[in-house]
Amino acid sequence: MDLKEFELIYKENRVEIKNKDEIKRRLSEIVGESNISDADINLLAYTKDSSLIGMNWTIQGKIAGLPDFIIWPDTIEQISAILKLANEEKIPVIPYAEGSGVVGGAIPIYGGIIMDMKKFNEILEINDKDLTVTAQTGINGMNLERYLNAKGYTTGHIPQSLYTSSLGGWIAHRAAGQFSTKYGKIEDIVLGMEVVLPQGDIIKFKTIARASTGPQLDKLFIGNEGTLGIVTKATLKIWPYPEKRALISYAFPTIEDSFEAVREVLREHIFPAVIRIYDQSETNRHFGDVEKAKNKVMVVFVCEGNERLVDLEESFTREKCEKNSGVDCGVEPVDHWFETRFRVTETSSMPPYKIVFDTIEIASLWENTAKIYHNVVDSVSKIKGVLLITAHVSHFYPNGVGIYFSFGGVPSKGKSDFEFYQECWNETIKAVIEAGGSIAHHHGIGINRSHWMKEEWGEALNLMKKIKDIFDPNHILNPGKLYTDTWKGGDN
Amino acid sequence: MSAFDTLKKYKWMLPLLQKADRDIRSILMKNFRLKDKNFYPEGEYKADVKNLINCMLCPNMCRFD
Repeated sequence: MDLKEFELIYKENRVEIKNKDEIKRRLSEIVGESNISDADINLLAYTKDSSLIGMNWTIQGKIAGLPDFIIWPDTIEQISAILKLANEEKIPVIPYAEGSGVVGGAIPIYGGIIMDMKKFNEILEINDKDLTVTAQTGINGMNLERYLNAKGYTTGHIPQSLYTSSLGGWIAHRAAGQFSTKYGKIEDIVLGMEVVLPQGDIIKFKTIARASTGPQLDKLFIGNEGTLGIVTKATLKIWPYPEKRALISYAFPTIEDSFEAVREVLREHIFPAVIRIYDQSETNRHFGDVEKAKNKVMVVFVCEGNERLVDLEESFTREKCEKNSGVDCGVEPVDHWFETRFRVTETSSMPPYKIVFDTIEIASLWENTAKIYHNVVDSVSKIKGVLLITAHVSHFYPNGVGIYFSFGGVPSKGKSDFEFYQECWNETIKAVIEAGGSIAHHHGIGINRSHWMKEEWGEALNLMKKIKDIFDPNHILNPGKLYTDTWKGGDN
Repeated sequence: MSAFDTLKKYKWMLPLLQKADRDIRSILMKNFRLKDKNFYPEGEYKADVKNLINCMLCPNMCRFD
């Protein structure tokens, strides 16, 4: 096998490493020979993340981005030394968690060194009094949660990718889990961090419940997508494992009715751990067996925690649903969601049929939510070849929501799958911006959204670029992401 | 999965297919028909290509557990 035989998608800005043997020798001195590889089989495994278009490329024999080395450090000093070497030689370094990102954040589009963090997998301490857990950031999400559950705790951070993602990945892209309405998003959960900066300096943010000590610099690293530093250790909030769960589902005549019911629940300061609104298409797809929900909008709720509080939350939730024309559908739809909530393999079945499929999550205030939903569905459904454009809403605040759109289809004659994919992305994001939304809720920017960073941030993007220059003057850490438009789709 | 279960699972797709333009429907039908040819090597081979493809497209569910 020779990787040069495969078509490389991101090749324009590759950094050429002239003295590769010498670099390999120096890296081996840092991490040991068994913790570095430039073997094709290893390079190939790190050419992509879980972007769904990447699956289409894979089956077509195309490579997204090609790294030069894979390296598996197991001490913070090694990470520091690698970064110093990379600065000296101007070699890109891409921190790699578990590759479950879906917007290209971990794709090595400029080549360089993939720094796989999987050896940083220790759970260091649980503190029952403070309700915290401290762990290295390479720890797999499910392994962390299982460990905590066995001790009677949960972080409450349960993303769909729980089995295939890590603590470091969650912090890097500012993740949100399925139970986030009650427990918060990752930025609400992280209390302390240890970070290696791009030039190799190691800094520690002390663990504290809250502080008034100037601007909270630590927040810069939550959502930095591996461009400002590598988080190696973090302390998170934990909670006693819930003693009771109430499973509730209601079907509503329209999506607007469901929005109103949920908004009224949250206004009362009631926070069901899980709330999921499925539009009519997704209701028919996922709950086709539920007679009362046919052609309606299904909403599932999970209230959990202290028994007396759960009972109260349940009664409030039911009251607001019934007031807004909701019809009780029982616990089965929620059981079905629990059974299927980690299934991420369904999308893998599409590429053999040459179907292009993807999901795009965005954020909105309540005021614009219905407008954004209809805007996106209307504009994307007009694209030639689109077979489905559907949505569910799975993250909620008293002030707004995160909407999760799914599209699928086949490119019309003469159009490549990548062009079709980009057209769907462009239409979605344009429709969101036009209706007053924000371009990402919890998957991050990566490559796919880099084109709209200027629109999203305005002049503040220049400030963000200056911060990047200060932290990483040689731009070695995950180049081509966040601050640079590497989306090849333009405005088509 | 039995044929009945498969049909049940994918019945939500039927209205979508009915709504699609004729040329798109025809591209899709062709893709379905050629599913086991589209990405398979030509000539004789010994590899279990079906499972290779499954593995290739798997989001690494087995890698960490």
